[in-house]
Amino acid sequence: MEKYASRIYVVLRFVAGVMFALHGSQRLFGWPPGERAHEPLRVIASTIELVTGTLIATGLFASWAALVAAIAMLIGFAMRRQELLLLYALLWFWVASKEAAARSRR
Amino acid sequence: MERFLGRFAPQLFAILRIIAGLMFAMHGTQKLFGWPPGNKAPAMMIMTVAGGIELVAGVLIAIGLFASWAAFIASGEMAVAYFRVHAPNGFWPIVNQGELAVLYCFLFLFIAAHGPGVWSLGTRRDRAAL
Repeated sequence: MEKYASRIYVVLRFVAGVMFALHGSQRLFGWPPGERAHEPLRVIASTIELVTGTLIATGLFASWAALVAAIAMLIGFAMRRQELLLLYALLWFWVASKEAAARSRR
Repeated sequence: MERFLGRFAPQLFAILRIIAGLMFAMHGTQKLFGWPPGNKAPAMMIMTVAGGIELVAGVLIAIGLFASWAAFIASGEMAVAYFRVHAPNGFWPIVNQGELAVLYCFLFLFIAAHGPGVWSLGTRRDRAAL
C-alpha cells in the first residue's frame, strides 16, 4: 500500500479541507443547514475556516493556510475542549509542515 | 516557512498519530467500560466489537506497533460506522455528525499506507522518513 500514500494524503487534505470550509459556510450563510454565527469572534473564526479550508483543499498557499487554520483551532481548543478541534489543529500543523517541506524540494 | 516548519514534518506527524490514536482508544474505553464518563454502549455484539477495535487499534497506532495493520482495520471500522450510523441522518458530514468518523477514516487510511513514521516501536521499515 506504500505507493498509494501520497495519493491518500491528497484525498485526506481535500476531504478535511472541504469539511473545514463547510463549518465556515454553515455559520456564515446557513448552508449546510445549521446554526448561524452573529458574534464578531465567531464570524471571524468562520471566515478563517471558509477561506483556509478552501485553500487547503485546493492546495493553493496550502502551507500558510494550514498554519493559520491550525493556530485558529488551537485557540478554539483552548476555549472549548472538543476532540474535533484538537484533531484539526494537529492535522493542520502537520499539513502546514508537509506542504512547506514539499515546496522547498521543488 | 520552509526552514522553521518544513523541517519538522515527521515529528508533527508523530504527534498527530499519537494523540489521534489515544483519543481513538478512549472512544473504545468509553464504549466498553464507561470511562471517560459518557454514553456507555448498550451490551450489543456490534458495539463491543467496535469498542474493542477502537481500544486495541488506537493503542497500537499511538505506540506505533503494527500500526499499518491497526490503522487499516480502524479506517475500515470508521467507514462502516459512518455509513451505518451517520449517513442516514443527512448528506453532509457536518449535518449528520459524522465529521469525526470521516477524519479518522482518512487519517488512518493514510497511516495504513504510509506507516507510523518516527517515534514508533515498529520496524525500521516503518520508520521511513516522511
